[in-house]
Order: sequence, then structure tokens, then C-alpha cells
Amino acid sequence: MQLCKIMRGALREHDLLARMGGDEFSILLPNIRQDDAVAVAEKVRKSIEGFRLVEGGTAFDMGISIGVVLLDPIAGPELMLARADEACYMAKHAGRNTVRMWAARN
Amino acid sequence: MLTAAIEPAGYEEWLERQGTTALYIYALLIVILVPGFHFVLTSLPGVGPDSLGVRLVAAGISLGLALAVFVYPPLRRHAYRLQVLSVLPTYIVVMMLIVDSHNQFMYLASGLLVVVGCQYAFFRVRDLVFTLAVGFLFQVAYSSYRGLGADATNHVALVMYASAIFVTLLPAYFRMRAHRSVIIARLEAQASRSELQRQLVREQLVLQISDFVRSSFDLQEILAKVARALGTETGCHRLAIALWNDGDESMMFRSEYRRDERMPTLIGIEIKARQWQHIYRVLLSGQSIHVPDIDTYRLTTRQRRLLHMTATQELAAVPILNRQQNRLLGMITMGSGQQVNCLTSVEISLCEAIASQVAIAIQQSQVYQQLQLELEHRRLQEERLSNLANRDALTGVYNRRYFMDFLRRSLELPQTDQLRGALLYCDLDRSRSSTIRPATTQAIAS
Repeated sequence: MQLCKIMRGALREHDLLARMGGDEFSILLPNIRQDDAVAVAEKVRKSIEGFRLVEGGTAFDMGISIGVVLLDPIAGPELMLARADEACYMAKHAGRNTVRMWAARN
Repeated sequence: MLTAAIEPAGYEEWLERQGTTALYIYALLIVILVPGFHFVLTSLPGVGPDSLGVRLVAAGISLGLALAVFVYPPLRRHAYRLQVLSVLPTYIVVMMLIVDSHNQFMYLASGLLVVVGCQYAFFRVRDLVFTLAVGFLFQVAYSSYRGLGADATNHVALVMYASAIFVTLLPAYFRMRAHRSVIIARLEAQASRSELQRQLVREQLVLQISDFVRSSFDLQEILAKVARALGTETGCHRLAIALWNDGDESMMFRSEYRRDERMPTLIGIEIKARQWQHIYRVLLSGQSIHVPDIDTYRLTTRQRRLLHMTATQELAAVPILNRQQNRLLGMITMGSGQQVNCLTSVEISLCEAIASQVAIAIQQSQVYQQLQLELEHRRLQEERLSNLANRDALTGVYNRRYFMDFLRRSLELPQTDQLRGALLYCDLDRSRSSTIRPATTQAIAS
């Protein structure tokens, strides 16, 4: 799928992109600082932004909501994924096509 | 006689050393005692005059010989033969003086002393017999020359001498025989010990190489090491290992040891089976070939020229066999340069022992290569399978299962505070395009 190629293009070589089902994707960025992680997320968002997808005769303008969470070795992988999902949810609510960092308070 | 028996190596050297020492000691004794006896004997009452001159001549000859051996060391090789020359003049002079003194008792006693002394001067019975016999015959001849043949005193003296010689000879014979057998036994023990040591070194070499063969799969390295170790141990000029090439029935030299680096190298040279049929037949039957001299061996002119070109005069070829399948895997050749008959059966049998280790190495490396190929094949297959299991069918990126696995593993890795990983969760938003112009989507999004 074309969108995947675009996303891949915005990532570093050793970043891992996976499809979680439906329109949802996960990206793992190893060895990165918080600022850089947000920057990468922004880069991904910008690369998708403005893409027009034509599906079954209908055209869609694509956008992407991204939740960012820093890896916490104490938390398990499921919890990490849940937090990222939560941040993504926040991003979607805050108006689509945005990047949100997960914070313990919210 | 005793000396006809086979003597071990080192016996001649022993004789040389002992003979030289004895020569010096007896020269010293003669120089001190023989002229000295003159003054002692002539001072005794009732004893007639004596010739100091002949005594000094005898002592001078003995001293001269000792000095010659001392100054010119190569003479030491003949030291035990020179003993006869050193002692004989003194002995004859003593006989002369005994006859001249009309066989006086004191002179007879000093003569008997010389006979007994002679017994200890020699290492070989035949030298002693020769010296005593010459002395006795001289006494017989000299006394008849002086007109004493019918003299009764002279007869008594001759009988005394003959019996003294006989009495001296027997113990001397047993003493020398016992001494000689002790020396020979000692030398033989030494020789067998050093032979044992050499054997031990060789067995260690075989063990070392067999260990190495088991610890490495690198055939080139093994061959190089074997060639070097075996070449140094056997002392041959050239040792080369050629491996059989199944494809075109030829052998290719793969590794070699050259004692002289200027020798032409054999590595890479191919030997065609059909051109060396005779040698191949023998090697295939599992036997080693030893060509003591290539000039006299059954070879074609071309083969001989080739061997001359590689500076080989003597040659041994040992087969490397796969004994289970009875196949020839290659051969080890040992060559000697200028001389013929340098290689002994010991060296060839050592080479055979090593050849069986090399055979193991070759088979091992073949199996290893095959395993490597199979492993690579399996790895590719597994990669293909895992791609199917870990990828998302629609997009081709990784699927959820693989991502979770990877996430788990990266959480287990140690991370620094500054550089931690981050997880991004993305959800695509689609909004139906209201206009055809894509620019508007940006406006909506922002």
C-alpha cells in the first residue's frame, strides 16, 4: 500500500513500522530522545497530510493522528501500547491530524 | 677377534678419547721412569753399567708422539694405534738392556714391571699381543746376536719372560672384553634412549596434528601446518601435499614446505593421472612409493626432466586414502635434493601416519562444506517462512504479532536515560474530499 511506503520514507532505517489492524499502525523508534521522537512523529504526519486516496470511486483526503510514548522498561509491552493508543485517542479528539505526547497526568 | 664384532656408533669416538688420554699418561710415565731406572739400577751394588742413551731415545720417541698428538689433533683419531708405537721402543730398549746386563735379576724384575704395565696401556688385545710378541722375539734374536743363545741364564730369562707374557695376556684379555662389553652396552643404551626420544617426538607430532585436524575446518590451514611440521621433522628438502581432483583425474599441489625458499614452488602444479600411470596405480593400491634415485628409476624422460627441474633427486610419495571407500584423496611427496638414499623407512612411516590424519581432515572439510550449504539453504527457507508469518498481507509491513514480539524484546534491552526508545501509535483519518482541489485538505486539517 502506498501510504505505508510514504510512512516508511519518513522513518529512519532501523525504525519498525507495523500494521496493527484496520487503519492503525505502530512505529517503534529505538534509541531516540523525546524531542526527536516528536519530530519524527511530525515528519510522519506531514508526509501523510495532503495525500488523496481514491477508493471505490470516492476520494479521501488523508490525515493521521499520532500518539507518542517513551518506552518505559518497567511497563510491559501491552501497557506501552495502551498508553500510546490513549495518546492517539487524545490526538484524535484534539482535532484530527495532530501529534500528542502521552503524559501520566492525563 | 673381538674387533670383528659390529660396534655401535660412538665406540670409535670412545676409543679415540680413551686412547689419547692413555697415550699422554704412558708418555709421561715413560719419560719419568725409563731414564730414572738407569740411575737406580746402576747405583745398586753388583749391577753392571747401563746405556742411558738408548733409554733416552725410547723416552724421546714416546714424548715426541705425545707432543705430535697434542699439537695436531686430527692424529687423535689414530691414538689407540699410536700407543703401540709409543710403548714398543721402550719395551725393546728394556729387552736390549736385560740382554746386555747378562740377564741380571734386577733388570729382569724391571722388565717384568714393563710387561705388566703394558697390560694396562692397551685397549685392544691384538695390540698387546703384538707388542709382547715383538719384545719377546727381539729378546730371542738379540741374545743370539750377542752370542748368548746357549747360555743357561739366558734360557731362564726367556722362560720367565714367556710365562710372564702368558700370565699377563689372560687377565688382560678378560679385562678388555669386560670393559668393551660395558662400553658397548652403555653406548647402545644411549642410542636406544635417543631413538626413543625421537620416536616420542614423532608420536607427539602425530598427536598434535590429529588434535589440530579435529579443531579446525580450514583445510588450507591444516595442510600448510602439516607440510611445515612434517617437513621440519623429517628434514627433507621439500615436502608437498597434492589433492586429488575427481573432475579431471588429476592432482593439484595445494601446500608445501621448502627448506630452501629459492626452490621452485610446486603449489598449483597439476599432475595428470594418465601421465603418471605407474605411480598412480601403486598409490591407489594404498602403498607408498620410494624412489631412492630418480636417475635409476623406471621413469620416462619427460618425467625425469620434470623432477630434475624441481631439484629432486630422491622421492617418496605417500597416498592419502579414504579407507572406508577405498578412494585416493591425494598424496604427500617428500623429496631430497642433491643426495640419494636420504629418506629412511622411519620417515616414510611417519609420513604415512600423518597422511591418515590428513585424510580425516579432507573428509571432514568436505562434510563441513556440505553442511554449510545445507544450513544456508535452510536459513533461506526459514527466512521466507518467517516473512509470511510476520508480515501484514495487505501492506507488506510487519504485523501486530511481530511488533509485539519486537517491542517486548526491546523493552528487555538496557536503555540509557538520554536515549530511550519511543512508541508511536498512528491512526489514519480519512475525510471525504469536498472539493477536487487537494489544497483545501490542508486548510481543513489545520
